[in-house]
Amino acid sequence: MKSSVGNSESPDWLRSRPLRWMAVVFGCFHGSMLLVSLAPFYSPPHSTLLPVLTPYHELTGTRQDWDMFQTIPETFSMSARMKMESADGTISLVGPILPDLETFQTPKSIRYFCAISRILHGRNELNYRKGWDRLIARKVEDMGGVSYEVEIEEQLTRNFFYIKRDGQLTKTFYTRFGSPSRSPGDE
Amino acid sequence: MSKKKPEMSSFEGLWLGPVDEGVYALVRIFFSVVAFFCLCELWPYRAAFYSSAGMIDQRAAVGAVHYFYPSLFGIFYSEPAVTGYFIFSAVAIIFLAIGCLPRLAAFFVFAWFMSCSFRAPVANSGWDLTLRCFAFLILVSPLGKSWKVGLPWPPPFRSVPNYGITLMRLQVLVIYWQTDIGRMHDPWWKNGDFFGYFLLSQFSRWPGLWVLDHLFLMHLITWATTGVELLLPLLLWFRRTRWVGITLGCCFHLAIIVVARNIGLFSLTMMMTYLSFLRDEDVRWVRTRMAKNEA
Repeated sequence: MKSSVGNSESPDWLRSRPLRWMAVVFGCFHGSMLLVSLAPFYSPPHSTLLPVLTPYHELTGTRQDWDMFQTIPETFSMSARMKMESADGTISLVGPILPDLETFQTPKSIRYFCAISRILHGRNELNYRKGWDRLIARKVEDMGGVSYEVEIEEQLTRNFFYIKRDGQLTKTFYTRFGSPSRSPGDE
Repeated sequence: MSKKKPEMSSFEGLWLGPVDEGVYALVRIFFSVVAFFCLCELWPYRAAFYSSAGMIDQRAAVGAVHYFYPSLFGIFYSEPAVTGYFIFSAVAIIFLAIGCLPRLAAFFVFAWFMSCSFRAPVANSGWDLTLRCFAFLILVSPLGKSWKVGLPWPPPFRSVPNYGITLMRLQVLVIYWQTDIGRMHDPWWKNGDFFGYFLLSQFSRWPGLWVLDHLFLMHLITWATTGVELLLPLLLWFRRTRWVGITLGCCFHLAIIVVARNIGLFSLTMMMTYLSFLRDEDVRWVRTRMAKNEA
């Protein structure tokens, strides 16, 4: 099938052969990089192209990892608080959001929710968790604190089967971390 | 003497076929609007996510990439520097929208999306990544000579090669289909329970036990969602059905805005991507409307 390039006022791009080739080669290459991501991660096309795919995707920011709601969102609500103990023994209730140890706001803070959820439960996010802990420790020290404890409360939606049975929508889970030596208020 | 029109195969036409530069311009303008909303949405979080005093350790972010850490927050890491970089990027987005130094502006907008998403990957949302992919495609696409503030209005017809538009369309197809493929083995999508759990999650606008009284409806909506996401790219791709696709896609994403809170920007972003499926005749219609309004 042939198509004509009609109605074109200034098709300069058609006259330059190198430019045409560049556009076709780039289009084919980028298009392939997009389409190959439809293949399962460990399939031959994906794994064969992986040495090219990873650097290309990192350089161009076009990594195709569309996992929006690939499973059920379990969190019904989340809140995070932090206790900080000063040198004089005073315990203050603050939040773990840096830089100013702000409190966690619900329900507006979808960004904080996503970040904290991934830091706590992400597959390879241990380094972020350690980093966050380290940065909190530094901030606490700068503010004259001697110890701290972060407590993250998550209300997780229960299975429909159990909700139907007793009408209770959520179950509460806590994640706690803080100063390795002791937590505020410990004797 | 009549000039012979150059001809091309359908394969060449996929990348080099002529398209009204107005299609690129509409994508560029609406992309800039959504990118500006995204920047405004991130503004309150800039110190928390992108500064060295924030909650995300830069060393962890650097360790997460394999080859190259492309975030300028490696240089602009103090709180005032992060704020300054945000303001600079906001100006670049405005320049891109009005077509002032568009290539340079597109580069800076792309650099900002790269910087944000690599500096704080744990804080990324689906719309950030979609906009980042589109920022790259706009950067490498023909940006045209008209559709800029200060030039004659309405802009004249001018054709440019459509490789950028083809790639944008492929990108939209991959977003929908990869999402669906990933869900194929998920039990909650297969048994239809997903939407019920979604309406009980913190994304829901009206969470509550009422959901359990309408489980059959929840199942239908879950399966319909999968169907719509499979069908949309096909409807959008073909000239005859593109308006059906655009209408269906907009209804789908508007429905998400109604039932979900906090993820409206994702719907806006996806609706923006549909502009890449417009054809010359659609832009001609826009131009005619503009001319009428001008008159």
